[in-house]
Amino acid sequence: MNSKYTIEPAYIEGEKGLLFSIHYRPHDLEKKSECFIVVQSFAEEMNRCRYMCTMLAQLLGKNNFGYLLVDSYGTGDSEGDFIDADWEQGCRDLLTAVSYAESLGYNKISLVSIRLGALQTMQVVSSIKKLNRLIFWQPVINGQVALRQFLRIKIAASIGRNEEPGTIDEFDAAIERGESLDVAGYDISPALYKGMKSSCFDDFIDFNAVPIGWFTTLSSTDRKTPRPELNMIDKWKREGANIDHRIIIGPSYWQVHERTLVPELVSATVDYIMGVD
Amino acid sequence: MELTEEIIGIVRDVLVLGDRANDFNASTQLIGAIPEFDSMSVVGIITAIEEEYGCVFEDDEISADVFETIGSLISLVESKLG
Repeated sequence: MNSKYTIEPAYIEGEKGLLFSIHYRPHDLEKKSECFIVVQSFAEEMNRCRYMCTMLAQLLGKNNFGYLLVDSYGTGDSEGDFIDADWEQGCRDLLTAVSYAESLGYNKISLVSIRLGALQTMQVVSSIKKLNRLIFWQPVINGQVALRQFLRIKIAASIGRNEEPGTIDEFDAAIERGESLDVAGYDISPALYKGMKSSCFDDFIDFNAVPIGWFTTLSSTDRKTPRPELNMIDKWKREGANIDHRIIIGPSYWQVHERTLVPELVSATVDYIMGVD
Repeated sequence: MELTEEIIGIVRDVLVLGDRANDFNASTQLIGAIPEFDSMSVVGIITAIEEEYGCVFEDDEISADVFETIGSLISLVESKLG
């Protein structure tokens, strides 16, 4: 299929300010149409994933699916500065995106959650009434581990700069004193830091109502899916979840310095959605 | 030797260097010498090594000394696998 779609950017009302949204409207949007809402990662990872999201939007649009991306408050092109970004607010903004998709006429809502977006998805998923399916791209399953990796960027950035690198314990202490933390140019508020730190996939896996497509991208055939990820998939399956785990070989698109793309991940995701093996 | 090849493989994969990593050896300079070697890449390499070998990097091991060459990185991993 090669349908025409239209691209509709808009600012929508969020709880704390206007949120930037971009909607790829399928050529015949009707009640049975399915809308895929992207739940993004944070900070630099979000930037590095942008073009992958656009490629997904284009391929979904060509196949007559809807696509919606909403930047949460303080991120991307929405109102607020990054220091205003707050974990819980991000979760509520995701629900605002869901309501907006419903107002556009969709009766089926699906989420494509990338990295930390997966944790926010799990936090709110049980309250999405029209949920049709979940798709994960390289999901973060433990917020504390992800935060530690993120803070390491701050330590690594000090290499060669003749500045005190600091330690994760010191960063924790600064946050506890109510200070924000600059990590590679992003001001992390205590509300974002603490929300990320306390969020854990495990807390929400009693939710198993819809099919789940879990995509792990490995940078070569020498690499393996990380053990904690496999353990989580097994555990969730035991809870009754219907998970299809697919492995794609391609660069770490959420992390690499130069813009790298994995078109195979985009086409494998749409194949999964369309039931192609 | 096997560890050297494995660490070169991790650096190649994380930085998406492809064939450019073919002549890498223990004395290949990393930080400051390879343009792709930014702070996110350092963390990507650490994460890949931790996942591969089940070890943990301490905060003070994220340093210029460790990431100077392939060889210095291997020495640290070796000390952890001890």
